[in-house]
Amino acid sequence: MQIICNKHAPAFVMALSGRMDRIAAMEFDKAFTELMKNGERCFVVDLKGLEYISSAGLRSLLSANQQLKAGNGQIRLCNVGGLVKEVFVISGFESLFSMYNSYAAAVKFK
Amino acid sequence: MNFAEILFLLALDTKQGIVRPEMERSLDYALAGALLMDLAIQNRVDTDMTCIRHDPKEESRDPLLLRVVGKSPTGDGLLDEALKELQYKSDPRPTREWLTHFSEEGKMIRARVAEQLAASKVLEIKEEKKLIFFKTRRYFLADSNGLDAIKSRMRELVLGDEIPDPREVVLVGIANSCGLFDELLSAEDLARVRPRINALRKLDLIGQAMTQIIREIEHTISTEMRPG
Repeated sequence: MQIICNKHAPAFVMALSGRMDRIAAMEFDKAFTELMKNGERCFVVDLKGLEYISSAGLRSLLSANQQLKAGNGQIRLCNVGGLVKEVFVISGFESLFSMYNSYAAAVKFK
Repeated sequence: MNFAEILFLLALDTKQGIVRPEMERSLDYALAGALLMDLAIQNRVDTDMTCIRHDPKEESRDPLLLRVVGKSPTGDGLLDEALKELQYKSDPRPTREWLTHFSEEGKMIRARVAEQLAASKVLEIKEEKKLIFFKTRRYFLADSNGLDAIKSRMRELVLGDEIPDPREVVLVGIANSCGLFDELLSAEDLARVRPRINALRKLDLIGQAMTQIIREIEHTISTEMRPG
């Protein structure tokens, strides 16, 4: 999986592409923890290029959401489609996350 | 405590020292699920739904494949034996198949879990002679602190609107499979938070597969017992 990070103030954008399996989930956790340590609290995770997500990937996103909510932050997901969307529906993840159809809509924080 | 240990404690009637009768038939599947969920949380196995794409006909039957992704021991004897067994098959297999496989070892798993709990002084095991040849085991709580804390956290979690961490999601599924919420919450509260409990337990995919099998067993039992 590739993670491309960039700041789109006030949000921090993490664009994920490829396959989010256990190894990739650990990479995501590491990057996310580092950003949290640096004080980032507003995240947009762009899943446009994500082709696959396993349970480990779901757990990483859930953990990020839980940490942000506990720390008065927020996480938004955008461009969730294909198999990843099917997994989100089956697991009920769509009800826990703020989901946006486009990147432009997701990065608009008031 | 690992998930299997927590589940075993929740399934006990601690006054009588036995597994609650309503849990008897489903406990072995639930314990099998608890082992797999612990291995998943500890990054030794992972599950995915790729066969939705590979074979759409399989979707309604079992879309969840389980694969070993980490072979290093966890340090927990029971989990490490399960991890070794999972490695005997090189291809990813349906989670449901593994749940059935480990449920068939339910008697041994129950005994091992009880012994682990006794070793950590949470449970006291008493052996009683039944007739001349048979011995039965009864299990009594020696230290209820850990279990009380879990019950209290589960109550807080389902009554509030917090997002649980992945371990807590598994615990909600386990607590639900044991009927813990019927015991913890009033009928009114339970009716009100039932949708949240269902939503939370769905978040873990192995837990979903476990719940589905347990439901099927309960359905089979109720069909068999229906008169006519």
